[in-house]
Amino acid sequence: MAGEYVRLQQALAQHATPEGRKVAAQAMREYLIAEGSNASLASLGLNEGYPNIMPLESLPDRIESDPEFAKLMHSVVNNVY
Amino acid sequence: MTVTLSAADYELSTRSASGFILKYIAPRLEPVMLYGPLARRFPFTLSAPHSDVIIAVGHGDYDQVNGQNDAVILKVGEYNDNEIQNKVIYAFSCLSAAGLGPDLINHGATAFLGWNEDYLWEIDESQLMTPWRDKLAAPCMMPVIDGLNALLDGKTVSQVHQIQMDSYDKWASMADVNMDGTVNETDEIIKDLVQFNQSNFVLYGDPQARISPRPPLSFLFRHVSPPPLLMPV
Repeated sequence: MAGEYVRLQQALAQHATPEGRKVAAQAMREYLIAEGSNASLASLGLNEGYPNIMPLESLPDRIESDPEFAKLMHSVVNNVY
Repeated sequence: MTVTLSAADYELSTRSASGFILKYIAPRLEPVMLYGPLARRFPFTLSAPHSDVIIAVGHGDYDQVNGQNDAVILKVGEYNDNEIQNKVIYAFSCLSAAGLGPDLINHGATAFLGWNEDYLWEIDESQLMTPWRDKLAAPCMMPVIDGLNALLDGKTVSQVHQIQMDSYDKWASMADVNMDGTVNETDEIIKDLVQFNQSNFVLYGDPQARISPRPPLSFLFRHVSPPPLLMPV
């Protein structure tokens, strides 16, 4: 599990390009398969570009298609504040 | 003095956040509580001027914090000063510290506690009716509860901020450990979400501000949970 998460961290660091987001999305898929969680990600945001509730399994597609969300996930998993 | 609590509850994220408030904070407050459908602007304008603390739980943005169905509770340029003057304001929402918080201080609020980024956490949707039992949400929710309890205990807002930061540290470290003490390798994201929320929690205004202490949770409410929430979301 730790290996998949390290790969996710490294991949999300390349979130600025479409190719980087594609790699990050795949890394997220592999991490979620290893984790096996059926949780959802919640937010108290208003007018965000992403839903307030997202099943974790939907995160890879969101990372790939939404640069702002990919940047946010990069901030979270790489502790870039 | 009363506490004005505005707590939205109309979809899964507000159900989760307000559910923890309902279990751990609401029983300490006076009967006036703007929960769910009451979390709207008009009831707020009646209650807030008579309060020494405002707790707002709902979706937020740079310049506002909302209530039920995104009804505006406080928004830059749209509130009356007497609703916020000489009060401690705790906004449990995304982003409101970025614009609304400084504006409230400039208009006479004593102190403001909130977040200058999104507030993110994991939830277990199967806990819809008893959100306070959600073990996935707890690491990001319980630090807020610890901070609010410190505020209601009469601690200074500076102490409240520190107690909440310490609680984030505690929950981030606990996210690595299962209930049986074994190392849990599945919760890296939860741990990072705790630290993300911690990094964006800020205090504005007078750090020595405090409110009059409220009684602690009674024996009954410490041991008996609220009934399941049956309202649809």
